[in-house]
Amino acid sequence: MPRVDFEVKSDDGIQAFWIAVGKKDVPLVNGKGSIDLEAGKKHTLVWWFAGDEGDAISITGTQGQATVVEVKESKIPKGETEGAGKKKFDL
Amino acid sequence: MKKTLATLFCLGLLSVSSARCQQETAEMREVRSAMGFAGPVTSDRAVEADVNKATGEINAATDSSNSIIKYTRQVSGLNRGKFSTLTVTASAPLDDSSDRTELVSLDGLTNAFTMGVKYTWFNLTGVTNPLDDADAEKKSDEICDQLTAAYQEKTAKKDVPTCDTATVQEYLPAKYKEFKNLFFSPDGWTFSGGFEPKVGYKKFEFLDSLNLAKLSDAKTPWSVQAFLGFKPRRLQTLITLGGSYQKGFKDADKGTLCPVSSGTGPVTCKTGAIGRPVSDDAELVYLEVRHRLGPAGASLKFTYDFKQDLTGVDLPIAFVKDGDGNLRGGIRAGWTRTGHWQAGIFVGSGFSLNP
Repeated sequence: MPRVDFEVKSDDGIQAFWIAVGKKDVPLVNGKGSIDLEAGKKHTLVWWFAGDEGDAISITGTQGQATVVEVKESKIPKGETEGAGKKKFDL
Repeated sequence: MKKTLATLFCLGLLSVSSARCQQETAEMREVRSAMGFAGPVTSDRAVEADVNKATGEINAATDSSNSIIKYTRQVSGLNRGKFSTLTVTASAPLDDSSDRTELVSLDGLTNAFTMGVKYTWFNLTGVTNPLDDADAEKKSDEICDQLTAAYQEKTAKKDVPTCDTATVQEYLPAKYKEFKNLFFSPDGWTFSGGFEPKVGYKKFEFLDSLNLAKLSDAKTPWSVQAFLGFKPRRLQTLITLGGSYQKGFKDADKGTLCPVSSGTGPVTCKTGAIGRPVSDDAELVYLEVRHRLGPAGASLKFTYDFKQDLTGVDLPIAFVKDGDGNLRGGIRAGWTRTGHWQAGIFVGSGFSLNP
């Protein structure tokens, strides 16, 4: 199974973030983590984050040099202290 | 960031080492100025880790004014919903003339240079993965499809928007709560707790009652605070209960001293605190309720001092937004049982539903 490397970058107001692919959480250390995924299938990236409203994260998933999934910006909604989202991608 | 950290370091060092900390350096003035005009300190904030935050805040009020620099860093967060943060705070008084009993916070360290480290842990309950449940996954897919249609209709663009809570809130508000509930159970809470030791430095000037000489004495007040916070997800409300013990100091009673007349000529009298500073310890408990109400945020904080039977009430209301729409400033009013009313403004780190 190919390995996909994820990197999460965040604004200063973000206190914490977590990601999963399908039902499997991806453990992150300093915003980076990896997971082995089945090739030739559609997967779903899920993310959650906490902080102050308006602050954002970005997520990049790469297999080798190729970007397989990218979330350019996901913000905490107005009046909230947490946000989440999902995105499907092919491998 | 380097500048901010250098100033924090300087404040910390000076606060424990030298009377020079009472003198504002050009660097401090520059940072203070940046905080006043630019709100959060924004230069080169992203350091080696991903979760860091440097903010500045200025409080200007009728009885007390101070400037605060905060630097926050996430220290752990591997398990979904659980994490902790470490915040280093430096505070410098802009006006230290008021007695603690006149301050709505009853905080005896407000009038001193202080440096504190706050550790806070968070536990967000009910953080769920919609992919764990077939119905929730189907529902999230449906909302994402509806979001794409609504986004393309409103913007006349053909691209697919990020399917997240913020975009749903903006382009498909009718489905926002339903979508959010797929990731965060509406019955969930955010629990938080922490502690914060602080140390300060303050120089007192007083008159020697024997020879009327003007003398000074430097003291190092300190405090230890602990708190618990509760935020139900259904409400945009944070309830915090806390307490602190403070070892503080204040000026001795003020008076006017005149030398014994040696003849018929006039004598020169001096007015000021007579004698060395005296202890001003405090045992504080507080209850604070913060609530976000539409475009504004308010906080009501009651503080009681068991040591001196004092009560203070503080009510800051944030309504001034920065370019990103975040609440960054506002007005505040306060009252103490000693009969002091306080009014002021604040700008900088602003309103947050995080403790």
